[in-house]
Amino acid sequence: MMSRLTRAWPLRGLLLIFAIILAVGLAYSVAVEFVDARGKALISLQERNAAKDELDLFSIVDRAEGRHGLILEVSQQAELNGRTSVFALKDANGALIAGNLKAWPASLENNAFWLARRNVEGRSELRISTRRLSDGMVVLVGHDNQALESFQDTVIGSVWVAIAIVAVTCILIAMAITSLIMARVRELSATAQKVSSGDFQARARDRRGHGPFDQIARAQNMMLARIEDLITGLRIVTDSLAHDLRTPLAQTRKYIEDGVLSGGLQDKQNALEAALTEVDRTISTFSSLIDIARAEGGLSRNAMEAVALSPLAQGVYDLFQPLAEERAIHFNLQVTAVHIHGHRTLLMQAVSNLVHNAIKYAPDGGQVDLEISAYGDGAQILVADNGPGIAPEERDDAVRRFTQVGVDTRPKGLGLGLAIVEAAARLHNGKLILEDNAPGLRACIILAGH
Amino acid sequence: MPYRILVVDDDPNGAEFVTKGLRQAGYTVEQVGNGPDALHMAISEPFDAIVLDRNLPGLDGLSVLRALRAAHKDIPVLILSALAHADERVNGLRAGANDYLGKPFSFLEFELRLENLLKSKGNGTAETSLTCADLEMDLLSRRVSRGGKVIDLLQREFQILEQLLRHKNKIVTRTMLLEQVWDYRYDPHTSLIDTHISRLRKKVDDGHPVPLLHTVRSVGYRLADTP
Repeated sequence: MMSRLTRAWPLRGLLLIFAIILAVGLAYSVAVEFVDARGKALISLQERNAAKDELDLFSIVDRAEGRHGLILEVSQQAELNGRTSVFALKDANGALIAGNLKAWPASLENNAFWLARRNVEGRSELRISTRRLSDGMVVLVGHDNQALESFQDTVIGSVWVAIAIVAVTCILIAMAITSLIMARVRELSATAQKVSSGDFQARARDRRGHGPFDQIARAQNMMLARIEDLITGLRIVTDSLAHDLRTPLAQTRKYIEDGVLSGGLQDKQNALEAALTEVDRTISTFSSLIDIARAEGGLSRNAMEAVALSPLAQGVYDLFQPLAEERAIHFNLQVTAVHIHGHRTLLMQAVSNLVHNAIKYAPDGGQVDLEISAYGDGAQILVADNGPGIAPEERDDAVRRFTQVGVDTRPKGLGLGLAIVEAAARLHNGKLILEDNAPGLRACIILAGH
Repeated sequence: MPYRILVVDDDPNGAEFVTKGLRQAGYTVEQVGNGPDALHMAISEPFDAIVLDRNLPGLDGLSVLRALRAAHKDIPVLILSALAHADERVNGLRAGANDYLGKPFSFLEFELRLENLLKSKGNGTAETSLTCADLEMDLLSRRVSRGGKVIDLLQREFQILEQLLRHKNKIVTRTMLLEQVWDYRYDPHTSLIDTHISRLRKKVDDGHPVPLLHTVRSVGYRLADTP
């Protein structure tokens, strides 16, 4: 498809050219018809006036100079304009006495005007006018339609020239427009091809215009940015898998090796149990990574349903309460009845992770609060502790996958916890906000309603 | 008469692992490796339970399951699949599975879940009381006593003990407890359940010569009057 676009002259472009030619051609033929009709009318009016003027002239000559002057004038006119016109003068007896006609046309009135006669002495069509003069003389003036014909020839000829000019112009304009369009299409498809061949940073040039191609380019760029995000995410997950699964796998291998090499039955048993725990932890890490990837990729969206947050928080509270009690931590739960459209399992996991961290970092005899409240259309889940907190500059890192803030000083296992919370928040079109609880950490998940 | 189980898995190693384990545990096992055969067998032959993989040649596991349910076969089905994510689990249960276990899995846990399915299929009548030695639980009045002495339990403690009593003498894994008591579909992998159990143990076993609540290291817990 891509290559067809770039190589073949597009059929639609050709169709467009033909449509334009057809439309302009039609317009021109209508115009020509109009010009032709008007032209003919004008010409014929002019010729009629000319015929009348000639007859008038002959009348004046007749009155002023009599028969001889008239004969001279008619002969002169016949000689001068004989090619396109006929002139004749007959006397009272009907005998031709001047002019370029061999015979007086039959059955012609003596005071005719602008009569059409065909085939008069080899001339195709004549407009004949006659006038009776003194002494029973009659003068005849006839004009052929050569002027009309040449006018028509000129008009038709110029129409063809015009059509040719218009057609060529149309084709050129159409080609120019098409090649402009094709340039933009090629630009877009070149970007797509670059991306297909692995350059995920490729983007269509944004001209910041409002034209259709600018809009397509922007939509394409948005899509590409999202794809790049997902691919980067995937790459990070893959890298992380390679990195973070290697350690527990090596550990597992070591336990198994210990078991194989040790002599005592109890040692073997211990090694096996240690290996089993390590394997379970590996599986759990693996699942967490998949949870994050699925949530960030939006794959978990179709598993979303109406979720009541209070019972969910109550469940988490019940689960963790003994853990808090063991270390004399005051664990408070405060809930309002809120329903959201959400992913139950992921939310449960997010709340658990926050509560788990809070209990882990709170000092013995400290304080942990879990609060559910309405927030606009959605909900807010707040978990606060009075532990050491996270320094502002480290908060971004804490949310990133596989970072463990201040690894030396903090208990193990935060690795994926906050990353899952963040992914869960994003799946619900919300966000995770980490704040200072002075002292301690306030983690707040904002969840959008619908 | 041993239970007859149909194992459907297109991976010969996986199928062999399950089949071998189940035979050792005393089950009669039939094994097929594709969807259409599985559906045919499940409809035409009597089985007590089906262990079903999802990625099958010919017809995928969920389609087999839906076809079975459409044919009003309410035989217990346990899905055993590498599609282990919570969303996939929901898909499986919606298609009509009775239980869902993601690979990789602990065989012990698998066996326990299968036993649960067979057992719940067996007795349709609801029990009103559960006992283990001198420990008694009245499910109607929600009263628990040991040796005639009433034990005060919190709601979750009661639920944990109920699960342990229902699987008396058998191991209950942490995952099973998390699922059944807290409706958790993932493992928060902490010693959380141990904490709950040790609190429960204090209430149940303290002051009695014979301990009933045993921890099976790395696996789970067992309620029994013998260690």
